[in-house]
Amino acid sequence: MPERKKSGRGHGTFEHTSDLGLRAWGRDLTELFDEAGAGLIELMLDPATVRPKETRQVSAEAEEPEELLIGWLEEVLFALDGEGFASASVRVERMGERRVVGALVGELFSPRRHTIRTRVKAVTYHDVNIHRAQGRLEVRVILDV
Amino acid sequence: MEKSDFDLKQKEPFLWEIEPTGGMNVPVRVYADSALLSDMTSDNTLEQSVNVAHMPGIVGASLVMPDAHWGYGFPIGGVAAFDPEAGGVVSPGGIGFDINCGVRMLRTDLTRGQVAPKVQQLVNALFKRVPCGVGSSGGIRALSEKELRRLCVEGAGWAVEQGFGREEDLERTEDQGALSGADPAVLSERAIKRGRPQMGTLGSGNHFLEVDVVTEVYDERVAEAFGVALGGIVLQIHCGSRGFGHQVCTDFLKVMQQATRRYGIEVRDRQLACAPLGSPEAERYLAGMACAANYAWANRQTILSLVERALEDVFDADRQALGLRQVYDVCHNIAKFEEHKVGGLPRRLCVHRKGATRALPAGHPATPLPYRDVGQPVLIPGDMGTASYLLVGAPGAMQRTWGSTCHGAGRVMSRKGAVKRAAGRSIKRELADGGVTVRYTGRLTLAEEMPEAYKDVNAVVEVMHQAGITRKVARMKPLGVVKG
Repeated sequence: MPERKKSGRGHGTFEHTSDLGLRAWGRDLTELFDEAGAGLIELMLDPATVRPKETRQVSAEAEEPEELLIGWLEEVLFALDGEGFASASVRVERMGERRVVGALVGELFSPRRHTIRTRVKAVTYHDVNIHRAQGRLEVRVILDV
Repeated sequence: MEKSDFDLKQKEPFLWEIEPTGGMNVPVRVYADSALLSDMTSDNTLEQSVNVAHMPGIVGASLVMPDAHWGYGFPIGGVAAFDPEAGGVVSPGGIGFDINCGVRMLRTDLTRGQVAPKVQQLVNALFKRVPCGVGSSGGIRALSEKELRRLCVEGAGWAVEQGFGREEDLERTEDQGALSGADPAVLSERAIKRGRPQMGTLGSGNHFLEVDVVTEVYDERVAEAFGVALGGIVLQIHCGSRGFGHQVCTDFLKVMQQATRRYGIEVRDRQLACAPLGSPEAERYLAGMACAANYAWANRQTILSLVERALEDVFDADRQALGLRQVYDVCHNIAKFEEHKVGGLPRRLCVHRKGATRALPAGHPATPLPYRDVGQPVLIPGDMGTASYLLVGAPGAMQRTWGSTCHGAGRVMSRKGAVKRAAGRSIKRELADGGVTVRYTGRLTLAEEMPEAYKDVNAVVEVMHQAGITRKVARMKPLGVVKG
């Protein structure tokens, strides 16, 4: 996955012995959630192969920002694994302290059209910590594959 | 990766200890040789096992098996027992997402000579019969919600009732293929949705079907009791509770974050979020975990039957003529209430095994009846190029590891690292040169799962043999592999 280190927002991966690490950063929580969602989609499939035919609303609630982020990523994951919906993109529409609302844009998953890159099965809470570094928010999330 | 810097003291040739300091309630005990230990100190395995040692109500020690590696929450290869009478907890992070991921072994009367010329054909037949890979579905028809709920309680017995396998398979399955206490009322709609289409499917990642030839027998008497002989062919099934188990874990991790705050428990990693045994949150999680465990047993029971049909097709003979019989089925990721001795007194403990196998010696009341005189079979799959082992529980397991042992070779290389290492190589051809025919769905999976990505299974098994936890019975070499 290409990293855009120079801008204030972006996403990438890091290594873990048995699973996969996702990194995201942004100037605020909205950007951070947008980037983490985009990063997860890119790990799961090639978004360029997904046509933006349909929009699905998603939301998550939690008492702490880290848990909210995990709930948000679980929405992106469940769309594919539970609903068979392939996302081309995801965006945050309303970011609250304990609630995030957003939209997935994509189409129904088709094995002929879409190639799965990595079978992400779950989002872990392992050492997840949203922190401020170099004037931006950063997070590292380990995904179960 | 971070280097761990702990004060490890060697206590025995294959046992190291980190003494309790600070908030640790118990020591960490690591079963390993020096090479395996060096793998663990190069990632976060020991840090994670120290985190576990801090948890409330943990008794004895935070145990680390020789195949352990960096996981999330517990290390993969971590074992811990919690005492309900001493504030003990249950933690979904100590069981893992793939609840009751496990291994089942099938013995046959087939010999290497009969199978070798037909390996490709057999691998193709297995591949066709058992759906595998990404989001695979349709191993059997999709289940109705009502059926899924019933299966969650009945486990492998449900599959037998549907015509997949036989009653005799159940007595050769851990817990007879059904953990008690399952309550489908605690399941989310999402869990049910993910569970319905995936029964009878293998999934992806490290899950596989394998055709093996027995290349060494260490204990003739026990091997005979297990139905395994030199030059004989066995098959292994490695899979778990699929998306269903992952969703159950996901749902309850969220509940446990709240419970951890509610009960004022401090954990060193959010993935270790937990609730006191006996609390409503713990009871509900254990009821859901049992549903997922039973789903996994029903899944392996169904797949066993699909594997048997593939063998019957390829060798044009029925199961009796082929001598098909289940050796055993073990689970790797689970928490169970078991009776163990603490300070010489019997206690009912909640034993968490994450990437670890139960190992019971001969004569133990929970050792399955067909094997009561020899001990419980322990199935240790290695990487797809090297070897797998059949072991048997030894008395040391009950004295030292809450009746637990290793579960496989254990990863040593990250998936990304493995893919990089495989660049420009044909892993399929390399395996073929080593006499292993492989079929797979995911292009990357094969690279991620290449033999070099794993530790030396021979060393892992030897540590537990020397430590008196499990004894070696037989060694198998893979001939054919189906990878998800």
